[in-house]
Amino acid sequence: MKRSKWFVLVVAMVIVAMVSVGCGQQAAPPKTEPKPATPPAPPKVEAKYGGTFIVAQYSDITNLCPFLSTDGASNVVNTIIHRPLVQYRYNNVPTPVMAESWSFSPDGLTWTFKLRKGIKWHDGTEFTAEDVKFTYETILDPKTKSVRAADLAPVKKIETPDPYTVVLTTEKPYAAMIDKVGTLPIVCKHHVEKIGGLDNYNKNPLGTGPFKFKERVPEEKVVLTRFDDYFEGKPYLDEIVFKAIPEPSVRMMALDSGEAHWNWWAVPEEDIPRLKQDPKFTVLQTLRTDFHFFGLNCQKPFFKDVRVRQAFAYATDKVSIVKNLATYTGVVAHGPYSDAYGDYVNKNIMHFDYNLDTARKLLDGAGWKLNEKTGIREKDGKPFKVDCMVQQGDELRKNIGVLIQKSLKEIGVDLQVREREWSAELDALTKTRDNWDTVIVQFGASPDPDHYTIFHTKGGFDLDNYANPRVDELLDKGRSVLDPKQRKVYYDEYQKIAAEDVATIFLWHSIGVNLLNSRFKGMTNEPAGQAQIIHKVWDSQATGTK
Amino acid sequence: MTLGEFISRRLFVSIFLLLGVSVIVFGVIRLAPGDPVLVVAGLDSPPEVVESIRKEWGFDLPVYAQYFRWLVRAVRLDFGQSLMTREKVSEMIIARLPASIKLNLVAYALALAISIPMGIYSALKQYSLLDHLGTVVALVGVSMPGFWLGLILILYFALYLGWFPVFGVGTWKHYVLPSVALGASQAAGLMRMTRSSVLEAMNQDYIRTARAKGLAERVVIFKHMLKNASLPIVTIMGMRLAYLLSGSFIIETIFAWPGIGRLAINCLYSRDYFVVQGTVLLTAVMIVFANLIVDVTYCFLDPRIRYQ
Repeated sequence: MKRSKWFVLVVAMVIVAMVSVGCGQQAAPPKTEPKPATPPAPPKVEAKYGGTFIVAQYSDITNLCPFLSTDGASNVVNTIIHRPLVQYRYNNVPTPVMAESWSFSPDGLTWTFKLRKGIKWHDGTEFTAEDVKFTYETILDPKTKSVRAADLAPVKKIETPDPYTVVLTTEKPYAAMIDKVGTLPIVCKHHVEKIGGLDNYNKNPLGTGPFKFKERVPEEKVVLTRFDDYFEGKPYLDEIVFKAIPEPSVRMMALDSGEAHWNWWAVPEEDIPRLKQDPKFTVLQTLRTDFHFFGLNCQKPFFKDVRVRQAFAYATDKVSIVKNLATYTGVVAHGPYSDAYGDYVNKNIMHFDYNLDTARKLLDGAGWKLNEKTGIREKDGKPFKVDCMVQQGDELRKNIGVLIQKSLKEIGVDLQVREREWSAELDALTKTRDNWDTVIVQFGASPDPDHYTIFHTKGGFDLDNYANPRVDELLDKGRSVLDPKQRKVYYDEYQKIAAEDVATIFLWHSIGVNLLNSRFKGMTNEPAGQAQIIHKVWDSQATGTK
Repeated sequence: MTLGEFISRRLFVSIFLLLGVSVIVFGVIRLAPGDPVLVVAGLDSPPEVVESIRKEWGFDLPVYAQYFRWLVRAVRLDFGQSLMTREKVSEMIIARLPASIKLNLVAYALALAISIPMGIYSALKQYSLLDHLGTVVALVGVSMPGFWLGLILILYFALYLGWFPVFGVGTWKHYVLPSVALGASQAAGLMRMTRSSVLEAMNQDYIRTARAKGLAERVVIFKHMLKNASLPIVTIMGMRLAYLLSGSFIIETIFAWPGIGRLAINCLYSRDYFVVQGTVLLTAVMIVFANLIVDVTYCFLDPRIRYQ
């Protein structure tokens, strides 16, 4: 009896406690839109020297050699340690950095880069054209196994007629020279030789950037210290510490507690309204050059008919998808180029505004008749059932899939969302190619409008297995002329065809969201990444002078 | 059989066990869909670049040739290079292992410090209020996912109260939350086992005899009962060590703890084959040795045990 009485009492207490917690008032997310901000013009304040800037990264770095890493975490650190000849700054404008200027010959086959004089490596020695030549030749060497080798492949000869001039010769005009080659970070020839090769570079990186390498503790942090002789001017911060915090909620908590100052990766969409109103933070939003898309595998028989693809496009409510899932992180896309591409954007391409009736008519015309009993369309006795591949664990893409699934059901198409691990998804998209029907994924494109790799049948990726000889021809021509106006003619037509053929249903272009502790000033919106202008960031709580 | 002979025999058998583990981990990771070369090369690399990287890394060889090539090197403790970082796998593991060992030891010590006394008390005061409370706490502890507990601990004790850091390493304060998150479910299971084991020992004749002889209760419990109750507890401790090692993978990710667990997870997703093989093999070695230590401990706890 005594046993039962105590046991029941304890269990009852626990149940009451759990119910109380479960029914407890939760902090409700704000339902009203943020008040329109009309901030006063910031007063002129002199930037201060000093301070440690802690960056919350989603992962540890993989490689501090800039042409051996492909992940974002490494690229941010490498961009700060190393500098290239050119960077896309100030709204995607190619800006001379270690190059003073560049020019190309009338036939477009010879590029000449004039280098700035007096740039120093972190060991105090001078940067010269020999370092550029060494870097490019190392990348091209198959033993290096660099993925950037393809970017340099059109370059057939690298010459250095004097210590401050680099001449690159190609067999055909290479319009993407600045984007693909000019932006390659440069490594120091004598340093690589001194440390015995690139295998040891991960522990001993050396560059010309505003911050130099101090230490790395694997899986924990990378520490950079200020390089006082940086050629664009002495940076303000004393130190930058990159800390790897894989769990997104912990990353946000680290910023909330002040243990980290900058998160440039995956700020949760639902937190953005709150963060914009929080004086503790500065939220930077930058339109990027990438696109989220709903891809249709053109190898599949049902997608070979353009009417079917257009029906899918009309049945995809992009406006609603962006409104519900990417209010602060996306703008509706109708083609492959976001407005970040400036004059290259063709504003006169076909739009597929949400229209289920038009979608139904197109499917009827393509021979897909609705079975009234099942509600699913059929052709030659086969029901219209497709799967939609999304990355495992990616809630955003799964939710997009669910919204599209609902719309397609209304026009008689049965779409099932299936998760696949990223490596398997990559394999399916680029290797096996025939074991998926549709996919929802994001593609990051570079600032140059050359989409050869993405859409050309020989480009390597060939998105959605789309094969259009005219598009191939336009992409070939677009990358082989150097005159921007002529390139625009080719790319305008490419955008027009891509929109009408709609093998790829463009959903939205990303708005990159950076979350910065508001005590740090000087960071501006940079579509190609804030790491490029990190030398301008300063700590308002610092007390040092130059 | 002497203790030395027993240990030698177990070590000899362990070689074949580890060989089996190496075949399994080598095969399973290659069965998983996804091409490691594509992951390294990136989404938009042209085919010729991808194939050149494949050849340089030896992935163009037949699978059995790749295995033997790796095995011959592994015997010399050369586990190859990371596909992503190009560092030696052995150096990567050595750099991160101390952090994992420290966290696991602290979590384990915490689990033992809580579970053994609580388990003994629960058994001695069976059906009391504290015994029932302990039962419920143990049930909650076993049921609660470690990653959830970790996030809740960070939210309340780090962010809201500011008592401990949110993430990372550095001071003794950094150990508290992750070791509690890691040790909680271990403590719960160990507590229940300790309670059952002590209860069973308490009802034995030799305990009645000891009490009848007029021995102090403290002597009855700690000299007579615990020694006999400890055998199952030691067995469970050995098994729990394996769970601890695997559970720390998730806790290390939550708390940004720089251990081999995080390394293994990251490398699994990026198909960094050689690193995954190295860390799994290392974990297998640690579990084999942990079980060997448990078996050897039996001899000291119970002289009646003979290994034939």
